[in-house]
Amino acid sequence: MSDKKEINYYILFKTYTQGMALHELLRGNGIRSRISPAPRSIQGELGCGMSLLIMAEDIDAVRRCIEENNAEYHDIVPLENQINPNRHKFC
Amino acid sequence: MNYIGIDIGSTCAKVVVLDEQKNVCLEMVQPTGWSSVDTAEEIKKKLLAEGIDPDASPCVATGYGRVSVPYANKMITEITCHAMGALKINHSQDALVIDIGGQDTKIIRIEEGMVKDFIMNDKCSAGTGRFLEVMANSMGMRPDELCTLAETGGGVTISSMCTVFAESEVISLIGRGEPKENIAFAVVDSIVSKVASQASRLHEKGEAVCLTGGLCDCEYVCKALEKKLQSQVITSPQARYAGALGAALAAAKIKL
Amino acid sequence: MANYVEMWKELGMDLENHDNLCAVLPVAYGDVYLSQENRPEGMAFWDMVVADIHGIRPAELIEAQKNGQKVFGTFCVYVPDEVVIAANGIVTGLCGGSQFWVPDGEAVLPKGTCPLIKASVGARLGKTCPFFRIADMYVGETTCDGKKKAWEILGTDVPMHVMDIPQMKREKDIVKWTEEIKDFAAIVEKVTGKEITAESLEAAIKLINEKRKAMARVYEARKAENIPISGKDALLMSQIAFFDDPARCAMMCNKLADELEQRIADGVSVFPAGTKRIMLTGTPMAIPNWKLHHIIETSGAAVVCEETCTGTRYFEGQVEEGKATLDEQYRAIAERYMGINCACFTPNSGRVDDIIRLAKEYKVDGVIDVNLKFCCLYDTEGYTVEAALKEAGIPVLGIETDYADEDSEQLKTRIEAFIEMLG
Repeated sequence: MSDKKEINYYILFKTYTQGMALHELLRGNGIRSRISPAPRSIQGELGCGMSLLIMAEDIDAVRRCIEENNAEYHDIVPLENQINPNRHKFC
Repeated sequence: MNYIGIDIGSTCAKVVVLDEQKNVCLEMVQPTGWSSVDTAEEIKKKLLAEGIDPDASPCVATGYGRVSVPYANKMITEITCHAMGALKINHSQDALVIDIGGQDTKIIRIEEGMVKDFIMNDKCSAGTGRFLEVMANSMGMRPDELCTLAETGGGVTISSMCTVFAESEVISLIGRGEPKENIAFAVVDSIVSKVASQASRLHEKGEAVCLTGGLCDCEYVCKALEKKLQSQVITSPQARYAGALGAALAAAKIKL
Repeated sequence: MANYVEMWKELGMDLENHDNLCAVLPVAYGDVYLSQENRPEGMAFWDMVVADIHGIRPAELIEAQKNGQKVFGTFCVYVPDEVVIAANGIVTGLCGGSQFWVPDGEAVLPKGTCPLIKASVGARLGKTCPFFRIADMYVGETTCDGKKKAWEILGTDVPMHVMDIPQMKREKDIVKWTEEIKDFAAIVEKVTGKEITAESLEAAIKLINEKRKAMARVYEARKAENIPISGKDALLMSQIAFFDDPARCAMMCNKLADELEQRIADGVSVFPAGTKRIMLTGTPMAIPNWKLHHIIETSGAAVVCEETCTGTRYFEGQVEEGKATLDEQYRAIAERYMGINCACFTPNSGRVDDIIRLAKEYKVDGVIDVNLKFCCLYDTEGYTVEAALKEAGIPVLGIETDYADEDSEQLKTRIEAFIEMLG
């Protein structure tokens, strides 16, 4: 999980209600997603700081699920793995 | 089969290699320098030159640079390693170990061969080898020279615990023409006072202590600490390798 | 959905500086929380709250203010939420847990002040936290000298009421605290314009009791042999409980507890069998202070209990329900709150009893006694706590730290050594 080269996907939303709805939808379909604060670098001017973090192997299933259910979202952004538990940078 | 212990401290990197019978067959020390990764690489080269392949031998890394030794099979903290090393040196199962390191000082209580309690100093470098180094530097001498000179001095104290403030105290003592031996005395006195006050939570009056770490080479530091603690201070030339020795002993328990 | 940038602007926030905080939070949250495996699904709620921590709840509070409600910001678990809620007010915790706010606090406070106070003052004066902008009134208390003087400084910038907390626990102190609560109630009534009745206070007492019971259920699950939730996640639940609507908080905690109880029945754990169980005692960990939990749980141990204000001190003990008159209710509230064992009291032997009891209940292998730098009270009491633990044969490690990252490596060495010592 701390392999830096790995690509993850962040799904951004206009509102957190959209985000929570998609999270529930994915959960119902047995697809993994984690609720994450959107990394500042991809957040732009959006007011909503919430995103869904999807691992590369799950992204196709996620896209299909979104399409089949007409789920609302703002954007899907690929990003190198941001998570490093040994960084010890706190906020 | 050889067992390797590597202790990468803030100032020096120490290596101990044990043979099959757990006898020390090699001891090495070198400055850690800027990069503990480079240091670990250099150590590897030196070991290979001695005919010891660290990739094929059980190896334990300790010290603050323990994470930077890619060929180590395990990392163990310097507290556990110093304790185990000190026990081996002293042929004992119970001890109070005082380790004066480059950037920290540790007081370790060992009972029946196990660490029972320990204290480590805070971020501050008072009472550490670093403090001695900075003061020696501002007096234009080597740390060991300062320690030897200290024995002939007296009558002066440094009140600041902070290394930065203490250094300016030293500089003003130099400025007012205080003899060097008196300043040296004050520097060593400051270190042992700080160490003794730190030890007081675990040390019982009169109880003998084992001193490990780089400062145990300085005979006068041991004497001054004995006086301050009112207790016997046991040390040996091997004691600066206690961490690496403890790591090597832990390596001997690893099955590759 | 309101645009939060507009909302923050209207709150008079320093947007540019606030954006720096928005940049570091996702990184820290990812490293600390999202790096964990096999978390309870119920944590999704708390993930959402943090993901939009300066958006969702602040927007709710502003909406409530538009509907005539008042928001009271508090800094201590001794300040009774029941009184505010009975007068149709809303409570939000305001303790600062980030190094980000410390420099703005140091602009007016001595450097040798505890980081919690510096961060709290800095968050207000630096205009970088919406909760600190939203609160109509701050409620301080006299738990320590640092706070007492800090209220005087904050009081020049925001309406402030200070509750005088007794320093001993004699009958006359409980009487005095009852009077303080009554005075506070009168102030709250004045600010909200709503009278507190025996009925409204009884309803508030029940509501907060339910919230405390729900939190206690989550903690109860942590006593299990196979630990169903990480210490970090449990800490987050406690931290958010200070901000959230109490009914929703109770509901989400109960939902989480259901899942944890199921995990215990199914033998699901977030840690490998045999992981050493650690209890933390000492000073509070205000959000987003996750430092020690993270270091401990990335060093091969698990935090199973916190004897802190962001832990057991927050939810243990209930206010007795069913009292007939306001006088009796205020007395019942005072009794529950005076049962909290804070180091500001002397003598404070009840806290030592709590720690030994909790260590047994949670079957801990060792205790880490943590002190926020410059907290003289907990630091001094640490001597008594550590002596009592050693006497009881429970290994203990004393740690002093603040919110900064710099000592992480040193802390890691000490904590790893402590875990090695536990065997």
